[in-house]
Amino acid sequence: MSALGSAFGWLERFCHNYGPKIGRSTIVIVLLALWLPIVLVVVMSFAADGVLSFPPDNLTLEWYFVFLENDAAISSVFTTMKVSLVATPITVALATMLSYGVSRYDFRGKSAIQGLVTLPIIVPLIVVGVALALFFGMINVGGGFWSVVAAHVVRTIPFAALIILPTFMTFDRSLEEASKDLGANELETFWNVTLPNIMPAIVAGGILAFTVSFNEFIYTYFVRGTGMETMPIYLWSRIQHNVTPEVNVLSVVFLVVAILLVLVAVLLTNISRLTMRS
Amino acid sequence: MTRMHTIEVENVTKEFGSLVAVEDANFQIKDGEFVSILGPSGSGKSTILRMVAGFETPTTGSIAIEGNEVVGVPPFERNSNMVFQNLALFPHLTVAENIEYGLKQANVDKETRQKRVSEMLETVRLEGYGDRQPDELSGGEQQRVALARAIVNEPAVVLFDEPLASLDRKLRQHMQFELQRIQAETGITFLYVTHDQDIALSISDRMIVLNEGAIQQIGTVEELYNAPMSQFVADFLGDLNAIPSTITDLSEEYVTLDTSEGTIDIELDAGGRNENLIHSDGLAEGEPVNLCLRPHEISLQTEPPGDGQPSVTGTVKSRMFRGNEIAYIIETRWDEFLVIEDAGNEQLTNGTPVHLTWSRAGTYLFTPANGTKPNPKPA
Amino acid sequence: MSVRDRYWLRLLLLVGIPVGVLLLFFVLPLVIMLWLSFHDGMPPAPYTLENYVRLFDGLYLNVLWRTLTMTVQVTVLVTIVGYTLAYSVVQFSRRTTLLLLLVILPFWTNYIVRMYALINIFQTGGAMSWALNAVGVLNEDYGMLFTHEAVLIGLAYVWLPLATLPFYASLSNLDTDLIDASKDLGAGPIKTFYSVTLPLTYNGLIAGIILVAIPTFGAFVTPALLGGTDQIMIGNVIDQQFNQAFNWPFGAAIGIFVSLIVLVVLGLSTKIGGNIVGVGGDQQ
Repeated sequence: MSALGSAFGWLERFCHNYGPKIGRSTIVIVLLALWLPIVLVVVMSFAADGVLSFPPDNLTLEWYFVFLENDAAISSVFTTMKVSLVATPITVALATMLSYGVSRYDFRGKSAIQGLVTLPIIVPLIVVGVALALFFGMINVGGGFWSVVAAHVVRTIPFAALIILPTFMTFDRSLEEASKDLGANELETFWNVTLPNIMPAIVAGGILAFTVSFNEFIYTYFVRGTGMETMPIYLWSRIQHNVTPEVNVLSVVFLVVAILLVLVAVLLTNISRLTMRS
Repeated sequence: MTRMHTIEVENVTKEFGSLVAVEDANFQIKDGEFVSILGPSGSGKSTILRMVAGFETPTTGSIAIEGNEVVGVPPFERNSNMVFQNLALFPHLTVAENIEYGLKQANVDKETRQKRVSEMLETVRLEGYGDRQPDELSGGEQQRVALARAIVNEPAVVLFDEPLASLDRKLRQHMQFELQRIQAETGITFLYVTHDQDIALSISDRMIVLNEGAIQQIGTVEELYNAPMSQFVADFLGDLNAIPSTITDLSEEYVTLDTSEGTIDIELDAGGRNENLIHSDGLAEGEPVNLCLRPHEISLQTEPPGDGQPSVTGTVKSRMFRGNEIAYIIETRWDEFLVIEDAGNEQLTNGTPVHLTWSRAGTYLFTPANGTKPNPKPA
Repeated sequence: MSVRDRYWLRLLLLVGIPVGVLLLFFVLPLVIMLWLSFHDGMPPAPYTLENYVRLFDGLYLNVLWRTLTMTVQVTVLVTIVGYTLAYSVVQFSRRTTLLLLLVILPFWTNYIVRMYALINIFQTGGAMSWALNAVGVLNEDYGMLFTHEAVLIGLAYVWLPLATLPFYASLSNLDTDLIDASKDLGAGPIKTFYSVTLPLTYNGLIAGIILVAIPTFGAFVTPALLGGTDQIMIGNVIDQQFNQAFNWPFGAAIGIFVSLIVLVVLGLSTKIGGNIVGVGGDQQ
């Protein structure tokens, strides 16, 4: 017992003395592990010899030009942009309406609605993807543009609502009351008082929704018809069949766009939102 | 044989980067003493406490608890326990489990633990509260639980990091009495950190006054109040009015000060007190000095005093009634002075020109703090 | 129209439209899926339970078992690493915001891109092979693509940032003085961890575990790209039934089965304290 006790005491002292060092090393190692693969993709996009040889012998911009010449790749960029640019405003409008309703009105089933809005994050993507494909198949709509947009709206609503709803909840309602007291009606009040105050959250929610939509793969994969090849779908089929060096370039395009968007969203709200703390 | 020291702090300096939080601190605390460390916020008092507890390591110097060097010993192996500023009661444990926590870590058997916990609940007068959660208790009750948790292991010293600061005045006074009672009952050494001079003056045997990381003075409560070694200590332990002046003549019996309101002679021969009058060695003619007066020791009169008694002039600016006293704010050419008179005296209305005279008992001469010259108002 | 009527009309428009969209494009498809899963072929085929019985064939039980094993392994790995990471960021570092940003940014980059990045590393003659040869551990081309470990690392890589968030949230809500108080009372770092830190961050821990376990159980892209045909998980079976076997009712049944398991796990977790909707920190 005492031998065990002293061994444990030694372990406690070891943790006390070296815990911070071990912890800080963990941060460094994990961050390296998270970022190294991403950095490698960027490096490989400049590799002269293509995809298979590591490390690259020569660096070149050649593949960026090849990428720009590749009609299928460029058209996938445009398809993605079209879907995301249409789906995002719809999502933001729906999330804002919902947030306003939930935060300003008293009615039964509020928590059920909040649960419903969160559910698309929780139910495995493949299940919803298949269900949506079935649904569009059964009603004979198929996998056209609007079906994909609808799928993207379902996918992005929870993210927009997670950002926008807390802002409505914490918004100082006495400002609205003051506005109404001064003679403005509800719509004028919303337009002149509420909206300017929650605008940063709406924009941030929109950017995150756009980012999710821009990256969306699984719903699109199941729902889409042949014409709807978004960037992730294009990337997927390239990786599955024959990896060409433009795949690296396309990945870099993805990384740059996503990271820029998220950084803007962070600047507009604050980091604690992104950590989903309300 | 001399009594043992519970705590010995020797040449302790603590630096955080380029910031010197504590500079060359030296003090000893005897067994069973109740000592306060008093200083404004940022003076380094909490850092000293955390170094004794083991949460910070001194940059240089040594700390001994019961004669054993503890620098490098982790907090969980030190014979000290702390009452945290926010109390830090474990929210997932009951009151009894909170108190029991330290005993459990010391591998005390279950029966003894239960006995000690109920004894402790009795000591802090919380019998029957053992099964409650900390958040179900009032602020004062939580203080008692934190105290019980800290003394249950009978440590060499209990460290207090301003735990009473959040209480209202009445409850705080009550808890001060309780602390003194429990300290007397248990005989454990208490080291109490605070920025509140009233708490420090009323509960401790001795005080350590700290400013900007440096110990200003150590002594009993009476010593510090009556014989402060610097203007900082005097000011911190009670209000002080300062008249900036220059020494023009210095003899065995008199010091003559030149103020912007003429010269003032201070007698240096009266019994016992004159040694405390000038504290700076090598005080010389031509040197700046502050003549400092305690509010209680100033009297106000409308007529100039006779027979050369020193005085300065001012105007009554405002008046506050404080029960048996009246506090006046007097506008002088240097600053606003606080003067406290008995409520029985004639009351002066705002705007009345007055003469301020003083008794020697509340008079101090301090060299202005290094670099910071007193800035007299333009006359 | 009375004020009261207008109130209800507004509420109906504000809440009704978004909820209607979710009901139409989220709930209804799932209901249709449930309905289809009880059919023997595409309707109007007769009703049957055959699709669910078939799930317990040896072949699919095998896949289910692999999926379950994988889920447990990924969850344990991510929980240990993610919790240690979050703890270290909260306790031992100062540039918390920057570090947190560096942890979550990869999560917001494209899933397929991240998989592709790992393929670059795992493939024979890839970055890992090069690194192992460079330090002299190996002297031949090496690859670990299409292995169980590749899928395990891939899923952990993807979900680690997400799980770290609730860990971080609950740890940063934990009052550091409580840890100090425990040490002050004689408990070392290890005892302090399991008697104070762990119980007080329990909700965040459960939330993080859920956030990893659910998507891992339904994973489809990672096993497809990193695991190949030998390492398929239940998600890949759903994909196969839809896109290759064209047995939609069976695919629907597997989807419903996966959803049920997820709901049961979720129900259990809310019972024992995890709060997935809030995904927030513990309240003290």
